[in-house]
Amino acid sequence: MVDHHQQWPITDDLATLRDDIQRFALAAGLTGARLDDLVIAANEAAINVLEHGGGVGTLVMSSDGAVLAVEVADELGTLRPGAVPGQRPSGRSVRGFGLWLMGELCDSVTIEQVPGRSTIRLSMNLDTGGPAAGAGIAPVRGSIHPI
Amino acid sequence: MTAAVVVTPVPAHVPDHVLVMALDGALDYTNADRLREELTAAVGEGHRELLLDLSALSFCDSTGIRILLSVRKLLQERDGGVTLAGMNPRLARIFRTTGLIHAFTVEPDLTEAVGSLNARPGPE
Repeated sequence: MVDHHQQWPITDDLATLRDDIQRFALAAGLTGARLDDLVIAANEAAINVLEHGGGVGTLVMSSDGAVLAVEVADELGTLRPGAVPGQRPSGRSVRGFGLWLMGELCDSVTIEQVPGRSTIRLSMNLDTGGPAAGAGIAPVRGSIHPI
Repeated sequence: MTAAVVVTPVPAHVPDHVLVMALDGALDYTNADRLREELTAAVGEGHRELLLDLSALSFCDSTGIRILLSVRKLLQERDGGVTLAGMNPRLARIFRTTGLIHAFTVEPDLTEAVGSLNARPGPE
């Protein structure tokens, strides 16, 4: 059984980070196109930290058997809740583009902001309705999944 | 290890205005700027079409797509464009979701792409 919680620093070694994300997500039961979607979205969230979020951050993955979550936190804290565009941004709004893409690819995207830290939380509902073995997982705000 | 993407010329029977290159590795935020320089340098004055074999490209993120769009812009100014061949499902997913797949000509593999480019009328 997979660890229910794992974290990695965000560095410019995105290839290794993607491998780690993929390994965790596969073990949590995400496969096929939805696995691709999560890897693409999590990579965009990590780029966001490197490009706009001060360059330092952490990526945390967790699974409770029903929801797989990726939380990407920066150490700048300028990203605001509600920053995910509902429509594809035109022009050169690069940060908005990545955020929009995350919203298209994941079941839920929420942003939490506290002074000095913004956290993007991506979640994917898992098909296997197994028992919620992962204790201590925070409820997914804005998720369609019943808490 | 940081992601690497390697660009190599591909020998192909195509008209002189077509440049054929292959990308190998993963194209992301960490190497996109370098790839832009390499691709732009490879496009000669006489080229107006770029055919990219992506069959060995495992990943491309939004930064990579921006680079491909900038090369496309360069060729569009010459009434040409960019053909992408051999995308894996993950690549196809990001291009489709972003809607940017429509900015490129997409072919299932290099052979078909070469055939299509040869069938097109050449430059004046």
